Amino acid sequence: MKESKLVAEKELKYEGIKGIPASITGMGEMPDTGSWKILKPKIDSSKCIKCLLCWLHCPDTAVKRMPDDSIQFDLQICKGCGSCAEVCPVKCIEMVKAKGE
Amino acid sequence: MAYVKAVETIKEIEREDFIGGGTFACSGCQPVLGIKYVFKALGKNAIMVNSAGCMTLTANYPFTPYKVNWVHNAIENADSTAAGILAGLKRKGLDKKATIVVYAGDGATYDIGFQALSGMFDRYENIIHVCYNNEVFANTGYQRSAATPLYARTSTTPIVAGRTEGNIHPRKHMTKIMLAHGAPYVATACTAFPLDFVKKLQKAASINGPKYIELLAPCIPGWLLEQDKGRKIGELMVQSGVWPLYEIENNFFKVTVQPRMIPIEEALKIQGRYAHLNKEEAAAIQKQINEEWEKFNKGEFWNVSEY
Amino acid sequence: MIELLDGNFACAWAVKLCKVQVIPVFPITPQTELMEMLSEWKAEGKIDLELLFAESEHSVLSAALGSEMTENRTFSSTSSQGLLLMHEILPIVSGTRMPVVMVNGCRAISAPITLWPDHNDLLAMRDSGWLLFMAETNQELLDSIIIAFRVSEDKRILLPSLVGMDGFILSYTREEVNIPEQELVDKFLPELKLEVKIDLNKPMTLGTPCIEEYMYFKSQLHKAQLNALKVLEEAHKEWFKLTGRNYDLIEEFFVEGAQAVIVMMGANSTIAKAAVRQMRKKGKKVGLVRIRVLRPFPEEKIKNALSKAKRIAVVDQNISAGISGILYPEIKACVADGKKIVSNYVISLGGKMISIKDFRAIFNDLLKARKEERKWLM
Repeated sequence: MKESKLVAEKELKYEGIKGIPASITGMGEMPDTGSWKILKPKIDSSKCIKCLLCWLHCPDTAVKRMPDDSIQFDLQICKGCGSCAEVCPVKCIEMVKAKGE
Repeated sequence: MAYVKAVETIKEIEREDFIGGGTFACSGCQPVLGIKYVFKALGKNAIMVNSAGCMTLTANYPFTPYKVNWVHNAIENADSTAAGILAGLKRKGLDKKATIVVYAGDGATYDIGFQALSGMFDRYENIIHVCYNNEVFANTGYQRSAATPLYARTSTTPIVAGRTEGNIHPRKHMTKIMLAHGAPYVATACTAFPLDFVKKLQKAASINGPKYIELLAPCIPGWLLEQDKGRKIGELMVQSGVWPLYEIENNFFKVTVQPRMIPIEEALKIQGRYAHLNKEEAAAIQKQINEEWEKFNKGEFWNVSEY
Repeated sequence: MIELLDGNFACAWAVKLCKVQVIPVFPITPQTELMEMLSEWKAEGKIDLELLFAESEHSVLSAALGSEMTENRTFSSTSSQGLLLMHEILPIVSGTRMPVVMVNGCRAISAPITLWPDHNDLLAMRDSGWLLFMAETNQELLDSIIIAFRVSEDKRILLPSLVGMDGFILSYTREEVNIPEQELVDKFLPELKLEVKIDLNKPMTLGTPCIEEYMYFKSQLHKAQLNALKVLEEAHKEWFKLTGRNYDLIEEFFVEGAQAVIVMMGANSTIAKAAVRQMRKKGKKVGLVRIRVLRPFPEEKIKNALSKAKRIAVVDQNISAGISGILYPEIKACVADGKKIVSNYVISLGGKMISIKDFRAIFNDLLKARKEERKWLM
């Protein structure tokens, strides 16, 4: 939190569109929701059948679909909910301890 | 209205994501998953107007996870704002290029936003209204809304010694109400069946007029579920017949996912909000579901004698 | 071209000249004739715009916000109960910095329900962040709408405007109005260009929630309002050059050498001015200051206009029950110096008829007063 200080009204500067509450994609830093997780997903790629159900059911788009339909996890976004492991029909995703990531 | 190529299988679903990560939605949240599906179905020319609610928390100045236009103002006027946007786009000649979708919670659809919704349907605006139904006013602490089903526990219908019935009012039947407005397309969906939802969105986008899709989106903290069970609970509610999946296009009713009709207790008792359900209450719910499905299996949505 | 127009018709002309694109509207007395006029013109092909008949005033303003976001000039109109119903959305429009212009047919607020004019509805919106104008004549009403679009859409402001017209007294009474030519208005009012808007090629998130930054955004809104003091001056100068009609933030009428001055707003100023003329003929040194722009508050101008007057009556056609008329504390804070007598007179609530004789009585009471008075014209 920034420190507050007293500013005279006439010294406040009008900053045009910067003073309008709208955001453009890419503006600002993404909140570190990856730090929420207690468990993280781990995949055994040899068992993966590329059904894409984990990619479809991830609420945070943390499961990335590769050009060959295999998947990769983006652990910076992943909140560790476990939806991917729950839906996997061959149970090749395991939720393991995240070790304070 | 424009939409991405029509899909038949999961592999065909749009690869690109138009909402990213980093939202403040709960871990395992199904409504935010619904947003992902809406944009996958409708593409980058979709404009989403959101009602104040849980999904307000997806953006937090200056950060935004959206790669498409997303508009947010108050809780009860999303449909009116969308109507204004549509009128503006018509003046610019862009109303055929962009698809406007309203993403409103059940509180903002059944309760406070009902007037705006009804007015929008009455004016026959070319807008899709998706109601993400988590059956409570989730963002303010899971209070009872008009969408809360019978006997559910919420923070305003709590389970305490001496009062264990939960919610005593049956829920409002929104799809019947919106159909009575003369809507050309009314459907129900569930986040556990994403391909069904995506197909319904794409069908809706190709129809001219107001469309209503009600998406069952289980709420992890509101329904007292474990964080990975959102999808499973949705699936059980569909397979037990508690949440029917159908679409009504130009008054033609069609069930899109035929449930296995597992006993409703299997779907409801494992939810924290129904843990108190006793035998009489469960029997009452089962009877009502069975009667409803008897009608659906005959291809009927409602009987004239009901009204 | 000079025509006999009532307030609603004058607004319709202003809307046509400003090439407004979208008008969401809901009927309420005394503004219904405006939307009827626009519907007729549209059906006859005389104007080309989108008319949206919303199901409530709350939806009207929400739709206006939506359409302004798509970079289309938007206008609407309402009155008392409708304006109050819209109140939730008014700060949202000003907070999102969308330059919508709205006309308010000032009408007294329920309960008890009435159709006749007073200023409580307009003044209830003074904290909403909108620019506030109040017209005295239908000519001024037409001109003010055009000036409001120009000032609202200016990059240094980007704030919505509310233009008040007294219900019935202006809205349904015909006066001579000089309707400017389209070319003149085109020279004065450039095309609407917004940087923050819904653009399919450059997507934005509009209305992002925030925490710490809220205070910063409000300070920017306040600064934009203060910028309007200068931008209005420029706009008024240019309007004078184009039409010969001179407007300012306040109007000073016989204030030179006045001992007793009335400060008021609205159409009843015409009656008060007649009283000033009569009394000046009899040698009484009286004058009138009419507030034309209430937000941004023209503090310097009011202070200067009232610097010499010893007795000031703030005549309020409104009441904030439990304290006084609404303008009274705002004016008093600006001019009271311990030596002036600043009194409050509450008149004409719910359109109670007021005459030149009544204003003479107010002036006489003011000239006789030995201390500050609070009186009601019952």
